[in-house]
Amino acid sequence: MAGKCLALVVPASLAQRVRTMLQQRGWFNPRFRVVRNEDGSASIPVISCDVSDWFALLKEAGLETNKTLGTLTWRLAEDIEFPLSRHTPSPHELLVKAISSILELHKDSPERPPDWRDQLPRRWERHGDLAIIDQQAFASPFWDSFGPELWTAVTKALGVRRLAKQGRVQPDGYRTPAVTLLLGSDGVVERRENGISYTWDVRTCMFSAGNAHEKQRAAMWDCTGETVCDMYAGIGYFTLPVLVHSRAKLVLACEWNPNALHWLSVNLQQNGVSNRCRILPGDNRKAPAYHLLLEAFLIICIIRLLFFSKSYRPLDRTQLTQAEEEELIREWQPEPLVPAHPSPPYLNYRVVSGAAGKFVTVDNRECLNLSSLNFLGFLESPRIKAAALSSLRKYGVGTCGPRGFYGTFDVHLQLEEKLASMMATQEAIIYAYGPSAISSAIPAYAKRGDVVFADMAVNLPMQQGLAASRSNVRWFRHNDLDHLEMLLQEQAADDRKNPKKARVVRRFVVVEGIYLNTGNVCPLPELVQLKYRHNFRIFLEESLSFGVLGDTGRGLTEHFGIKVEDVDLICSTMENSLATIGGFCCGRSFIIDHQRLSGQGYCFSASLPPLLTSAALEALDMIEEKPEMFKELREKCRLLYDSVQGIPELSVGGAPISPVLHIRLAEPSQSRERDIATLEAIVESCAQEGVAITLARCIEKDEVFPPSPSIRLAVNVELTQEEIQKAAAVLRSAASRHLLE
Amino acid sequence: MGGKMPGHDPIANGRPGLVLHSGRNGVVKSQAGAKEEDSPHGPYKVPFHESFEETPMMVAVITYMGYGVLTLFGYLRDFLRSRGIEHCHNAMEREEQKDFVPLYQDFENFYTRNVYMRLRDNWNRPICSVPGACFDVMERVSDDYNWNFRFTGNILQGVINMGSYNYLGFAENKGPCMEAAAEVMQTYGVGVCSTRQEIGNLDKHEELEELTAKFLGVEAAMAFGMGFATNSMNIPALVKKGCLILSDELNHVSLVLGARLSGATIRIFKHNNMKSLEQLLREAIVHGQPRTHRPWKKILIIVEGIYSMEGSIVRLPEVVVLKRKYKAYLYLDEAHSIGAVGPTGRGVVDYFGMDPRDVDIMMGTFTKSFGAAGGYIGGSKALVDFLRANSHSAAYATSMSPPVAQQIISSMKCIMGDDGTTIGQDRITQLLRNTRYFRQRLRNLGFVIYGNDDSPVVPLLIYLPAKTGAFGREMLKRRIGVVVVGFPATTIIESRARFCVSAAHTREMLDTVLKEMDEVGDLLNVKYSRHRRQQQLTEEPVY
Repeated sequence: MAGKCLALVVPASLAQRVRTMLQQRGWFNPRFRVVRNEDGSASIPVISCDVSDWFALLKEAGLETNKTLGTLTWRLAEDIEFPLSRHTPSPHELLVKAISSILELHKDSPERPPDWRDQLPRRWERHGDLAIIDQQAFASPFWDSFGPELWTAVTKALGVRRLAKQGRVQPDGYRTPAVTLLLGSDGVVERRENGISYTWDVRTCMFSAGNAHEKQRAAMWDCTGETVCDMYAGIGYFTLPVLVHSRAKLVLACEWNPNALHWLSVNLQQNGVSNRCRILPGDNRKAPAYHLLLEAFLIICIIRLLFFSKSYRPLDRTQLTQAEEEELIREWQPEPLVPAHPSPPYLNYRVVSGAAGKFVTVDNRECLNLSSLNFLGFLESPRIKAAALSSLRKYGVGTCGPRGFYGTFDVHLQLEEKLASMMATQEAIIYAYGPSAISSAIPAYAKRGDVVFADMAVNLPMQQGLAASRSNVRWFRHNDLDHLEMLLQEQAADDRKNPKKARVVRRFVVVEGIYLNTGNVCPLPELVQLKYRHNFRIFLEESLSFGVLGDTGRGLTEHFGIKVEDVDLICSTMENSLATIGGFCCGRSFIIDHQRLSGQGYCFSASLPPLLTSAALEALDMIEEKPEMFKELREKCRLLYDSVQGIPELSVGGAPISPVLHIRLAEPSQSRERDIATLEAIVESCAQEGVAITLARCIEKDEVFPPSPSIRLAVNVELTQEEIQKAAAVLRSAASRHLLE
Repeated sequence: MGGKMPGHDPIANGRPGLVLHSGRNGVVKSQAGAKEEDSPHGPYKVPFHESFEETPMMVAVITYMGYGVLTLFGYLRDFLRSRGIEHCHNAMEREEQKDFVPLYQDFENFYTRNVYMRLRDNWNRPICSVPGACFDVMERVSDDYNWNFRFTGNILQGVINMGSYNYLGFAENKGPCMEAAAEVMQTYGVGVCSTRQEIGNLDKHEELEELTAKFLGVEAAMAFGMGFATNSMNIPALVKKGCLILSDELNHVSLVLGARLSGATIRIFKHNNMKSLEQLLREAIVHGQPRTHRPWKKILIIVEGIYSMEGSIVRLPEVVVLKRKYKAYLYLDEAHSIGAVGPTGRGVVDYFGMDPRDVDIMMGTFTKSFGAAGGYIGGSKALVDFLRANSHSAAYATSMSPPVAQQIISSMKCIMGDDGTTIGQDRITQLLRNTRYFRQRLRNLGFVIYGNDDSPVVPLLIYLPAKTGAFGREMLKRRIGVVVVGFPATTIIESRARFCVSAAHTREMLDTVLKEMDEVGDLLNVKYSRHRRQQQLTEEPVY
C-alpha cells in the first residue's frame, strides 16, 4: 500500500525532530510514514502550504538554505511515493464514529445532551467476548430510547459480542457485583491465565484481572505433599494455582457465597483437580449451638476471673432469698455480753480507806501493809505531797490533751531529762499509765515477721505488747538462758537456710529485771554476752527493779555493773518505787525518739497529769539525795526473805534481794480454785491479825502461762525489823492453822 | 443550710425500701422520705445536721502535687545525706550494733524525715500553765530546721487555747474542785502502789464509780486510770475469738488496739454510714464465721460519740435501731462527747434524748470535760461485775490516783448540780452557745468546716500540708494556739486545723480568734467554701 504526496527531504539525523515540529503545526500528513533514502536523507510526508512558511520552520530546526554550495540541506519534492501509515483507529475512535452515525440516523429523536461524547465509555473490562463498560457510561436517560441498536453498535466498535454494564458493588457479605447484561443471553465467561481456565458468571462473581501477578506468585510455591487451607476461596483464584502448579496434596477451600461455590466446583473440574480439593461451604460464623454455648461459657469465665475474683472472699457464698435471710436473722441468738452468773474469784474488792502506806485500813481494819508495791515508802512522803500540791496549784489536775496537742508541760520535759540523766541514757520518754509504757514500746519496734524471744514469766502488759506487735514470739523457760540459747541456735539455723529473710528479721529478747510473777532476778550479764553473740536487742522491764536495785537505785544494770548502753531499751513504771502514776522508757535517742511518733500509748493518750509528774520529779530528787535507802531496803528484803523461810506446807519464791516474794503452796492440789481459796483464807486470817497481804492477782484465761496461785509479799523500806518479823510470824501461824488441819 | 455533702449522708440520700423499726414505741417509720435531715424524722428527736463539704477538685489536685514535690525533694535530700553532702541530723545506731539487723526500715521513716520534720514545730509545743481558756506557751526556736529545738526562755503569755479538750472548762488551778483534790492528796498521797484487785481499791474509787453510774444513768460503772487503756484493756475482756467486732472506720487507735488484742474478727464500716453497718450486720448473721460457717458468738458494734477528727456525732438512734434488730451489742466511746453535748451534759445519749440502757457499754474518759485523767465503763451490774473480775486494768494496773479521782468527783457533781450551784449547767449551756456561734461565724467567713453543728470539735479543712504548717505558725504568732493535723491522722488530702471550743472561752476570745482567722484565712487563701456568698446574706450569727 502506497500513495503519493509532497515530501520534505532532510538529513536523516534531523528527520525525527523536524517531523515532531511539523506534527505540532499540523503540516505532517498522518496517512504516510517517513521514508529513509539511500543517500542518508529522509523524506517526510507533508501537507502542501505556502512555501515561505517553511523557511522559518527549518531555520528554527537548525537547517540553513545554502544554495552557493550546491548542496541543499533540505528540499521539497513533489509526488514522492510513501508507504501508508500503520495507524488504525482506536476502539474509542470507532465508538465515537459509530455513535455519531446512529445519531445522524435519529436526528428527530429528543434533545441530545451536548456532552454526549463524554458519556461514551472510556474504560471497559473484557472477558472473552464480553465487555463490561463502566457505570458512568451512557448515564443520561436519552440513550434508553435506542435500545439494542445502540448496544450492537457498541459491541461492534469494541470488537465483542456481549455487553454488560458495571453497577455499584452491593454491600452484602458476598460483595455481589451489580452487573447488568445489556446485550447477550448470559454472563458466563471464561478466562485463561497461567495455563488455568477460570469460568464464572460476571453477574454474580467478581474477577480481578489485576491479581494475575499475585496468582503467579502463589503458583510458584512448592507445596508438594502439603495440605493448604484457602480461607476465602471464591471461584478458585488461588485454590487453582496452588493445586495445578504448587502441587498441594489437598486444599481445603472455604467459601460461603453459593454462586462462587458453584463456579469453584466447575473450575476444579475443568482443570481436572477436583479430587484434590475439599470444599467447605458455609459461614464460619454460623457455628453449631454447642459451640456457641461453649464460647459463651468461656467468656463468662474470663469476665469472672477479671472482675469478680479475689484471692480470699470470706463473704462469697450462696445467695439466699430475702425471706431466708430474715429467718436466719430472727433465729440467731448471740451469747450474752457477759456470762449471766460469773464465777470470778476477785469480784469483791477489799476497800481501803485512806492512804495505803505502811499502815493501811482495809475493810475498816488497820493493818501493817505488806502488799503495796510502795518499796521506798514514798506514798506518804510529805515532801512529795508538797511538790504535787504546788504543781496542782499551778497546772490544775488534767492536761486535757495528748503530748502532741498542747499536752506537753514543762514538768514533762524536766522529768524526761531527769530520768535520762539519772539512768545515764540519752533520752527518756514518759507514759501516762504504767502498763502502757512497755505494751506500747514493744510493738513500736517489733513488727510482723520479727522474732521476739520472751521469758515465759513476763507480766501481762508485756504479753499484750507482744500480741500487739504480731511478731513471732518464741518463749524460753523462766530465767533459763540455756533454753534461750537453744532457741537462738534454732533461729540461726533457720537464718542460714534463708539468709535473704534473715537480713530483715529483727530479733529481740524481752525480760524483766525482777519478775513480778516470780520475784526472781534476770541474769543480765549472761544475757548481754549472748546478745553480742547472736545480735539481738534487749528490752528490759524494770518495774520492780528500778528504784530498788543498785547502789543508787538505777536498777538492774547498776546492780550487775553492766553498761546501760548494752541494754537497748529500759522500761519501767513510776507506780511502784516512785509511788506516783505513769511509766517511762529510756535508752539511746536512736531508739527512744521513735516512740514519740510510734508509741501508741504516748501519741494517742492524754499526757500524765502535771501533779503526778512533779511527784515523780520530787521522788527522783529524794532518791538522789539519800541513796543509802537502797542498802536499807535490801536489808529489809533479806530479812523478810529469811523470816518467811521454813513455813510448813509453803514454799517461798523470789530472790533474797527482791522486794517481792511469792508464797506458794508447797504441794498444790489439782484445783486452782481450791488453792486460791486456801491462800485467800490465809490472807484473811492475817488481816484479822493486823497484817495486810494479798494474793498476786492474775486473769488466768488471758495469761499465756498462768502463774500458779501465790501470796505476794512486798517490802516497804519503812517497815522495821520487828514489824517484818511480826508479819512473818502472823503468816506462819495463819498458814499452820489452815494447812496443818 | 448549705455545706451538705450528699456522699457522707446515707440518710439524707434516702434509702428506698428500707424500713426501720423505732424500738421504743414500736412505730414503724420509713426512712425513705427523710430527705431533709433537719426535720426530726425517724428515730431522731432533735434536728441532726452535719456537713462535709466536698473537697474542691482543684485543691485536691494541688494537694497531691504538693505531696509530690515534698516526696521528690525528700528523695533528693536523702541522696544528699547518703553522699554526706547534707548533714544528717538523724540519731544513729550504736557502733557496736552496726551489724545487727537494722531496727528501722529506711523507707519507714521517709515521711517523718522529709515531711513531718518540716512541720514539726506545730506539735508538742510545751506549755507552762493550766490548759484553760488561755495558756502560756514556752517559746522555742530551731537552728537546724526543726531537728532540734532550743528554748529562748521567753514565755508567750495569754495564748488563747483552741487546742485542749477542756470542753467544760474544768482545767482550773483554783476553785472548789482544785481545793478538794488538794485535800484528798494530803490524805491519800498521789499514787496507790497497788491494783484494784489487790490492795489499791480505795474508798475514793468506789465513791467515784457510784457517782459515775448515777451520772450516766446506768446500774454500775467502773473507773480506770487511763482513757486509752480503758479501751485497749477492756475490749479484750468482752469479746474473744469467734466474736465479731464492727468498727467505724474512723475509730480511735485505742479502740482499734483493743479490738485487735481481743482476737475477735474485725470488720470496718464506713464512717457513720448506717447502710454500711446494716449490710455488715446482715452478712455477718446470715453467713456466720468465715470458713467454718458457725454463727458468731457475739457481735459488738463499736462507735464513738463525737469523732475527734471529723467533729461528727454518731447517728446513735439509728445505731440503736440496728443493734436491736440484729441483736448486736453496742460499745459507745464517749471520750469527746461526755460532758460536751446533751442538754445536761450526759453525752450523746442525752443529746438524742435516749435511754442510757439502750447502749450496752458506755465508755468515756475523764480527761476532757472533767479536766482530769482516766476513763470509765458504765452499763449493767452484770457487765461491771464481770469487768471487775476480768479487766486487765483491774488486775494488772495501778489504780487511779486519788487526787485525780477527787477532781472527777467534784467536777461531775458540779455538772450534776449536786454541789448546790448552777455552775455546771451554765457551762453546758455556754459551751453549746460558743460552739454554735463559732461554727456559724467560721462558715460565714468562708472556711470549710466539718461535722455536726452542735459538736464542740471543729475541724477546719486546709488540705495542703504546707499551708497546714503555716496556719499553725501564723496563729501562734497571733497568740492563738491551734491544733493542726495531717496525714496519717487524716486522709492524705484532708489536712486540717482542729479547734476545741470550751465553755471557758468568752465571746471576746472567740471574736479575737475569728478576727485573726479571717486575716490568716485570706493570707493563706484557705477560705475554700463554695457556700460562702449565699450564707452571708441569709445568716446573722447568733450568740
